[in-house]
Amino acid sequence: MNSTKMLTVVSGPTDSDTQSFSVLQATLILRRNLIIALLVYPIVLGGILYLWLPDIAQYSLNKVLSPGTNQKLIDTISQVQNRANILVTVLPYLPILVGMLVGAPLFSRQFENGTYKFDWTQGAGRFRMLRSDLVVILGISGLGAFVIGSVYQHLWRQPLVLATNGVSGSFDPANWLSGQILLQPALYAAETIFFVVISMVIGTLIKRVLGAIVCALVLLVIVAVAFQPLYAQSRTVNVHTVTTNDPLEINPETQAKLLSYGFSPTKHGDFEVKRGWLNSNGTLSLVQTDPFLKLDANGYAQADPATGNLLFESGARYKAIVKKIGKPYVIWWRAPSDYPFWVAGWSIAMLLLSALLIGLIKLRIGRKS
Amino acid sequence: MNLLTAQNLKKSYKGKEVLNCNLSLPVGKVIALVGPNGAGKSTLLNIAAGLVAPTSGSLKMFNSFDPGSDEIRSRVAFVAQDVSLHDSLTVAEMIKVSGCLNRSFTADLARQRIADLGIGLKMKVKELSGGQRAQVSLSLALAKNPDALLLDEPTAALDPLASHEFLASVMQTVAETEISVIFSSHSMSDLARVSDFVTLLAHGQLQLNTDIDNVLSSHWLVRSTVSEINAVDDADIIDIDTNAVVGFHLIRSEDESKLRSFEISKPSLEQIVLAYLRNSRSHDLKQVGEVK
Repeated sequence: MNSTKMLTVVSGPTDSDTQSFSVLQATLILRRNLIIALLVYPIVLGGILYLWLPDIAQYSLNKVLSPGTNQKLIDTISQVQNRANILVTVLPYLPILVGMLVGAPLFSRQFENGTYKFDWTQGAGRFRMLRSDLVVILGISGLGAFVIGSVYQHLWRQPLVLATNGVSGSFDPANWLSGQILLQPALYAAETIFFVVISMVIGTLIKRVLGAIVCALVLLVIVAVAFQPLYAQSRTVNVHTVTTNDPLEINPETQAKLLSYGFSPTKHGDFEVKRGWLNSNGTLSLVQTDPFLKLDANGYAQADPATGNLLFESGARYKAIVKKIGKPYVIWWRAPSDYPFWVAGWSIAMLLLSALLIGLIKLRIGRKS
Repeated sequence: MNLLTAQNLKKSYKGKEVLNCNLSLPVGKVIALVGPNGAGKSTLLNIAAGLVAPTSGSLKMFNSFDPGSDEIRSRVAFVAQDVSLHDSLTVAEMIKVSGCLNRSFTADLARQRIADLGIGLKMKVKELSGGQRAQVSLSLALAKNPDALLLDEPTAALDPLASHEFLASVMQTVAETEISVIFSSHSMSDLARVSDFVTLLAHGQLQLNTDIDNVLSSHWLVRSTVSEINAVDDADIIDIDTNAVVGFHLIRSEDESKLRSFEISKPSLEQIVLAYLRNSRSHDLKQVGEVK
């Protein structure tokens, strides 16, 4: 026996080795999940485009048509928009779904095929490999969710930005509602990371690919059903109140119209609308809790002379619009950032929970006595 | 220096004890780890490879290192029973992955060895035959330049030719590198061909642990009656032949002179191992009977 060789201390791979492994790992993970990516991401992107098209069409119409000249087409666009609502409800769950389909098999496949015996006996060690896996999977899924969340929010939560400014202008941050741009996608990313990690935990418990995926999907459905109201609330952009700067001139005729549309004075003397009110000082406040209403305090409301379907009196300086009226909008007033802090807290809580679950994964894949 | 030292090493799964032994294995040997199914061979190797931890007791590699430590993962290569490679990867990618995971990995060595065996680097692992998988697995293990190789029944699923070629590869490597090898197998012929040290486990307990030369020189087939063989001093009776009044009994004795009054012959290694396995089984049956 070569004793010199026996006594040679050979240390494990360096961090740079592990990083190069991360790159390789990323390639392999992406390749392994290519089918999922090919199936699901086109749906996501297609869904976003589907939502975007009416806005683009509307913007184009606004450019070329006089107000109200093609109401039929505008109505058709609105119907398309409404049909997209189902997709809108499903869309936020797709990146999570992708994350779960990638996360659940990560360890269950290793246990099922026995490849953990190969991986965990190599120089890098199981925990360095776990770190690489987490960096790759959480990085890609978290970043992907953040990007999709940003686009999704930008195009859907604030559609009027696009309708008003066009494609190029809509990507100008100056036209965005501040404070909502980062938080909402961050929540989206945090949710995705949490579900990826929890599906990885399921994989370490079930140890069978199909079983782990099924359990992860069942969990996703349960969570989606149970927390849908909470998610809907958390994802609503304009949960804050926006108030016009100037008093509105409300004449008796307008007041009558408002009453006919379900507005009513509050006990404080304010003039309440379904999701807003006219304050006693004449300013208009709007609270958008239902994203499908497409209310935005950033533009002028204008009448639709073709239908007479007025929410607000023509020519009045109301600072609200109803999107389906389909008229050009003028942004003159920017909503304050009033995003509820609990959304940030919720994101942080989910990231902390994810960290705890990663600790559980380390326990599950560690050597057991 | 010992390759492996186990003290009061116990491992239980769901309350059932599968391993309970004290053991020392020397470096520089090809050690055959033999025993029937459920003897604890794979458990011992899995503990040594750092895949599982013992329930109690300790196991040290190279006298002082814990299994699964950075040091041992670098110095010890493990080929699992089911030759667990990533099916979706090509052979070239497996080499690349191994290279990323092991600092002392020599990718060229692995490529050359695999090419010499006529295995295409672009072939996917799932397209390989059992023998080819085993050879690729061995090549990856050897390219780590390990000080010790743990082989957990790598020939179990191979046909005779593939098994022969695999063992030839192991022997060639041992001759070239003086690497320590622990090789578990059911096959007595494999054992006789490649090993120079034998460790016999049965029901998780150590039955035999010594150089094969010692084994062969200290065991005898003695033709006698049962009462005659029982009367021999300083000899351990390993296996009694009850098929005839005068049978061939296997005994262990360091002193051949005490057996001069009998007709004796040298047993093969296979006969010795089988005798120990029968002995452990009859001992267990006896224990079961006593419990009942």
